[in-house]
Amino acid sequence: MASYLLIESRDPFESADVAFCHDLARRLAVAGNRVTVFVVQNGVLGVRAGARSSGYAELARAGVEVLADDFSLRERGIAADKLQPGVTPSPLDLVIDRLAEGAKAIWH
Amino acid sequence: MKVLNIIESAYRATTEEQDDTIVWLSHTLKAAGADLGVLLRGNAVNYAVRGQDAAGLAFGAWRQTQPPRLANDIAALPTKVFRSMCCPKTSRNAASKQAISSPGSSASRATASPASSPPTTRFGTGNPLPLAGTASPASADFRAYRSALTSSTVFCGSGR
Amino acid sequence: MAEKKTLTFALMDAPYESGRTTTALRLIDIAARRGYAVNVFAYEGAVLLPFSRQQPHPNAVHGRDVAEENHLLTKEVVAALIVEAARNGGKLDWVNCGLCVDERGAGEAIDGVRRGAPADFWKMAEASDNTLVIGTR
Repeated sequence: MASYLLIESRDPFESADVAFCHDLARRLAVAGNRVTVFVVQNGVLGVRAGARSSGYAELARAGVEVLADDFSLRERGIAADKLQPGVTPSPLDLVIDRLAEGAKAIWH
Repeated sequence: MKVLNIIESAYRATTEEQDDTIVWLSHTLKAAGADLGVLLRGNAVNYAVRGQDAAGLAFGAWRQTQPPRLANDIAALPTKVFRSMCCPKTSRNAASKQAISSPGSSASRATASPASSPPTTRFGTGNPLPLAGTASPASADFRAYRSALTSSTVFCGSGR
Repeated sequence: MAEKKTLTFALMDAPYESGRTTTALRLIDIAARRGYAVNVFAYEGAVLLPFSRQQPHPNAVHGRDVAEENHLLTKEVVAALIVEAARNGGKLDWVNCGLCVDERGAGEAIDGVRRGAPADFWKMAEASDNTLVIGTR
C-alpha cells in the first residue's frame, strides 16, 4: 500500500479540472492506497458548507482523507466548523509530515 | 467617462501584496477623480465576507505586520459596489449570507434579505455581461450596472 | 529527536503573481523550522524571488509610510528562511536556474542563493527523501 498526497489549490468554480484530482484520489483509495487530499488557497472555497457540492464529501466516503489548510480557511472567512461533511481543517505542517514520510505528492 | 471595474480573480497573491491590487487600484482611481463602480463576481464575491483573517504569517524571524484586510477595503470604497448575487439555493458561495454591509454597497443591502431572491437568478455565470435582464434581488443594482455598461466604459479586469 | 529529512521543492511562479508562492514559502518555512535540509530549485519567474533589488514602498491608500507598510519582500523572506534553516541545524540551498536568470536580467540575488541548472534539480531530487514540484499555470 502506497501513500499519496494530492494538494488541491484550484477551486471547483473556476477550474473544471478539480475533477481530475478527485477522480485520481478516489481510484487510488479504491485500489487500497492511503490517500490524502489537502486543499489549499482558493481550493478551500469548495469545502465551505453550503457551497455547491464539490465532491469532497463523496471523496471522504470513498476513504480519502480530505483536509483543508486552516490558514486558507481563515483567510477567506470560512469557519472551521462549517465545512462540508468529511472535510477537516489542518495546519499546513501536515504536508511536510507526509512528504517526510515519503508520500507520493502531486500539486494540482 | 464612467468606469465599471469587474473583479473576479480572488486572493491572487494578496498576502504577498498585502492588498488586492485591483481593489487598491479602484481606490487610487477613485481618488484621482474616476467615476467608478465595482462589480465583484466569481470568487471575488468572497471579498465581501465578514471574518476574513489573514493575520499571523511569519517566515523565520520575519513577521507580517500588515496583512490584507479585504473586506475592510471593499467597505471603504467610496463608490458603488455591486456584489454579484447568487441565490443561496444554487449558490456556489454560501458567503452571500455573511456579506458585510457598508453604506456604499447597494448589493449588500440587497443581500440582507436573501429570502427575496428568486430561485434561479445568478449574475456572472460564464458571461460577465448578463444582459438577459432577469429580475433579481439586486435589480436596482442590475439597472445601475447596465447603465454603467451603456456609457463608455473601461474594464480593468484582474488576470489569473 | 525527530529524524531530519531532506526535501526538495521546485518553484516556478514570479513574486506577487500567485498564491502558490505564499504557500510554497510557508512549506519551506515549516521545513526550515524543523531543521531539515531544504533544496529549492527556482525555475522561470521564481528566480526573481530572491532578487536583491526589490524595494519596499509606502501605501497611500491605507495612509502608511514605508516603515508602517512593512511590505513583504520575497528577498527578505528567502533570507529569513536561509537563516532559520541554519538556526535549527538544517540548511536551505536555493538554486536559481541560470538561463531563467539571464533572460529575466535577475542576476542580482541575495547572499546564499546560487546559480545552477536543471541538472542541479535532478541531483537535489535524487538525494532527497521527497520532492514537491509546484508548477505554474
